[in-house]
Amino acid sequence: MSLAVRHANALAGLAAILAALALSGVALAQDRSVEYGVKAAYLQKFAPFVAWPSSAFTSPTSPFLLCVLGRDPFGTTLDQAVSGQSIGGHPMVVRRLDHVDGASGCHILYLGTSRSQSAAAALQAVRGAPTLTVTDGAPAGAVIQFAVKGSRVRFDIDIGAAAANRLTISSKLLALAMSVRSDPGPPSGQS
Amino acid sequence: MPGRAKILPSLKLTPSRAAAVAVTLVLAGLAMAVANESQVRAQKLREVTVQAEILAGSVAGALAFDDRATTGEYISALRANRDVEAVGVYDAQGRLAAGAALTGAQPPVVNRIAPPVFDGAHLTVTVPVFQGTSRLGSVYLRTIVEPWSRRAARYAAVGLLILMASLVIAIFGASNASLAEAHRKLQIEMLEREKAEAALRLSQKAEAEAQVAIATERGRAALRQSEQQLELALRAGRLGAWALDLKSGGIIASELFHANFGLGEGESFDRYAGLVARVHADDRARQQRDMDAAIAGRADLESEYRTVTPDGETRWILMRGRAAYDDDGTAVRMTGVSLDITARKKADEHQRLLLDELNHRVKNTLATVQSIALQSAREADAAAFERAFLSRIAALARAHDLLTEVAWEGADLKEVIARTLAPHAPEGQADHIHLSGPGVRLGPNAAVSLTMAFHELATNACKYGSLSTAGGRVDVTWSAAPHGPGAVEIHWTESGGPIVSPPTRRGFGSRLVERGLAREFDGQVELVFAPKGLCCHMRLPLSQKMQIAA
Repeated sequence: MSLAVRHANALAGLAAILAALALSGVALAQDRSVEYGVKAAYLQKFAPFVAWPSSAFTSPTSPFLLCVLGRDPFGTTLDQAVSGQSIGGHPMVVRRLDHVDGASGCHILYLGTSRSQSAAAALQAVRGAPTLTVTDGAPAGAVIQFAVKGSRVRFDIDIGAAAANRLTISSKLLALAMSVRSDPGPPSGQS
Repeated sequence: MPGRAKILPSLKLTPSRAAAVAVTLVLAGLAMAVANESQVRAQKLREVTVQAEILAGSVAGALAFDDRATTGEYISALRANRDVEAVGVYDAQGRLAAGAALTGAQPPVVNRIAPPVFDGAHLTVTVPVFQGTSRLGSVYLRTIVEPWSRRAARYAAVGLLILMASLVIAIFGASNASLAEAHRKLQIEMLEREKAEAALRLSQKAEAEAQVAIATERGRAALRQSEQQLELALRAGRLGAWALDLKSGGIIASELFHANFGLGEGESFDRYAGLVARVHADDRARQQRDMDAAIAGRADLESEYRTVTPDGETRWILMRGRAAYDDDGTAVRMTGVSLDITARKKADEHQRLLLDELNHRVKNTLATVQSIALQSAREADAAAFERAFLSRIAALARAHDLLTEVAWEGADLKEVIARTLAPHAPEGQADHIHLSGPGVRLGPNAAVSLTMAFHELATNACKYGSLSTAGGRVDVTWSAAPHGPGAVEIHWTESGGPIVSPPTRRGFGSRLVERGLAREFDGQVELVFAPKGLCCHMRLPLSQKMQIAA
């Protein structure tokens, strides 16, 4: 089975979910909770497929910071997802921040909606820092951008942005991405 | 070719050895099969583990992000491997995320990491799914270790190889056995030939040695025979052999030589001086002269001399020999023979004595004849003289005949009387004369004297006495004298004849009997002319002339 077929099947499944969500608002609110639950799990699962430079950690046991900028859409789901998890001996810790910069020390940074710092500014602030930036599709320039295709949460990967932040993405993760870009710009779709 | 002979037996492959090798091959094949089985299982374990780890690595992303479709695709990719019976991908909690039963049972719902499990012909492997240090889940993989067809084919191949190897070994073994048999026969033949050659060499050597031995033995036998003949000749001739070293004076001689000189067994002359010492003192100078003359004149030595034996006996020895000379003409050795000539010397002496005795007796006889002739000449006429003379000479001849028969050693008295009276006995009246007495030995002269005396008595008896008539008889008796010194008394007694009257004169007969006999024996003789017959009593003393016989 080719990836095209595989993706087609995935899109078919996602379309069925979206069709069901369109039936009622309550159902929609519940679906978004599921969506962010999946995304919270993805944030925690991205870490094994990404290699950070050794300078990203101050010590062998220093915490692995998973930061949420601005409004937290995950709630306790994220905390439950990272609870007890560690990456290469670094215990995974959730940090919720309103403002980030290059010295924030975030290893993964989910760019939510923040009143004090826009997502674009935050991206710019951590550019060059060893931070895996994740957005919900906008603005462009994040390493990983979530996307919902059909009923499934998918993502695109910008390996150019990853390289700019001195990160290496596993091919296994790249194989799961809907698209892989090598330079900043609007994501290109994949069928 | 000792190398070839050493090597070939080691290559010798008999059918039994070939069978042993075949059995060994079968066992080796079985061992190989077991080892191969083990290797196959190990290899299979490695392959399945690698497959499971590849799957685990491949599905890490899909498993992390719950991409079951992708996971299913990876699982489906294993369908190409017909050995895979079941496969399952499990999340971090061990729950089945995706799985498939390809040719066997369904994968378990819950998976736990465990060591690989061989279950008969099946192998189950579980490996964790890691991404970095994060464990994402696990993989379950169950496969067939090896399909029976492949295993059968493998074992068939092994069996075929063993069969082919056994066949090759059997063929090679049979060929090698044939070669080894031929080689063995060749070796036996070579061995037999070597033995035969060795036996032939031994036989030739033995024959040569035997010929040498025969020749040597013949030579020795001839030498022994020659020596034996010489020894025999020497012994037959009682010849002793001797060899004298004239320089050293050493002497080597035979046993008989020493025996000639009276030496006992084991005794010998070591030196010539010892021999000279044994030569009679009176002959020593002559013996030395004979030796010197023979050596100087290069002539044969022939010397007779006396030797005195250790027992004091005197023997005569004849020595004959010849000297040998060296290149300078110096006599170095003398060899020869010795002979004991004592017997010959004694015979010579006896002969000389006999000649003297003969001469003496002839003279006595001639004197007796002369006396008889003179006494007979006193007879009345020539005719009576002739008769008396011839008769007396005849009696004398008979006495000589008797003495000659006994080699003049002496005669028996009875024999003397009987022979003397025999011619006077009347025809067919031999019983008219009676003789009686013990044995008396007479010397030659005594025998002659008594012969002549009894001749005169018998002649008188025949002419005038008892033998002149048919009824007359003569008794002659003798005995040892009972009294006085030893003597023999002889009594002549006539009877049955005419009346006797004493003679008017004494004739030759009476004188011979009474005087001649008494003088000869230094005894007493008396004639008694008794009327019944003449008696003559003689008393003759015992002496060398007359002895009582033992």
